[in-house]
Amino acid sequence: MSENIAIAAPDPSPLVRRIIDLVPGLVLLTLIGLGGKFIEQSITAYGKAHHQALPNIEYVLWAILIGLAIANTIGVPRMFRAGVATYEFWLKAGIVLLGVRFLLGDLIKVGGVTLGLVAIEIAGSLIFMTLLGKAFGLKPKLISLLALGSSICGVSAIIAAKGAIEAEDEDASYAMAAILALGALSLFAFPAIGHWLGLSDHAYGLWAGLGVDNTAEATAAGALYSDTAGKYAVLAKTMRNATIGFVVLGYAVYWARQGQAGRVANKAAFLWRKFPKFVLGFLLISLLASLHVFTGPEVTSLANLSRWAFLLTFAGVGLSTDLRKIARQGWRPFAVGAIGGAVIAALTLGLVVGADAWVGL
Amino acid sequence: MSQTPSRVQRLAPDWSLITADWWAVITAIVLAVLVGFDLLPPVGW
Repeated sequence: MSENIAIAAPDPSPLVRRIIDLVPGLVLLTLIGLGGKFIEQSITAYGKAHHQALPNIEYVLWAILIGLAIANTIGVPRMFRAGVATYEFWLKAGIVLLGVRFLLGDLIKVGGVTLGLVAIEIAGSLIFMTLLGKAFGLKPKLISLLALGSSICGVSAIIAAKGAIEAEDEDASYAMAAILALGALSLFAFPAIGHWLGLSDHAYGLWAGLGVDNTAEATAAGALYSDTAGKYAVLAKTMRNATIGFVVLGYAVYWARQGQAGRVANKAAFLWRKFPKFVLGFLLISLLASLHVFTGPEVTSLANLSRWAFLLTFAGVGLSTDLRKIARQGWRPFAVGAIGGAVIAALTLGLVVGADAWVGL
Repeated sequence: MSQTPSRVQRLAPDWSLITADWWAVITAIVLAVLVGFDLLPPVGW
């Protein structure tokens, strides 16, 4: 009698298993991104063929809308979630690669004005959101989280600060819900206002980078206007992100002095830990481009790789926005976020228009 | 049963030390090197 001998397949290593788990979600991100591009091109082709002037709706919006529709109707099945969650990774890789489109000389020239605007934006947003939160009677640590999220970089700043100031999970969820709801609104409001005011690509890009809180939404809001606007939106947003360590450190020291958070033992180590490392990658690629390490076609290839990375990001933004979850957080953080967002958007618009008139963007 | 890690386990890199930010930077730099040395075909859009 023959014996059936079952030989178990060797278990793949944890790293290999993690990579395999990412595949379905990555395929979904790619399909949605390509779907967005296909819809944009199809509408353009239809308009040309039928001699009709149809509105040019960028692939960015289609990718986000398809993602939103899936996430808020059938939901994202569990097998796709690990891969979908990589959208922030693609965002950061895309930002690093975008460095190839900035020569260091231009970066210093444009960066000086942008840095000034970023400093005013951060100070103005921190002060306004703190006063607004107090007026709505929100808890002090929730106010800190909302102020940080609105002034620097949305969800990342809230996550970075949550541990540092020992805020409760519920406060962090509230603050993130407000920032995410506002980010979703910004995607529609910013391009519409920009077109209505006839802003230049440069001015609009800076405004989106200064006024939209979450990095993914700021990148998308810029790209929705034009490719050049997307480039400047990323520049301004990256500068805001670079300040995260300093501002979070300030809040951590404040709450430690109040006796409501642990003392920061090593401030330099704290700053390094919180510093977004992709900013260094962005500067490195920009330096290499400035030294003409890359030929013209290579610069084009790297810039296109950055666009592909952003394409996956935009699909992920839609798939990760759960409107029901945001609604469950109640109206108050949303109201604070909406009022704060509107005021900060108006403040940053004023700054950009003023800078445009003063130094010419 | 001994819980001492094997030599392979001890020598294996601790991937958790590389944060998501660093993975993004490493990936972008690898892509830049591949493009710079013409190891990737031209990327269109």
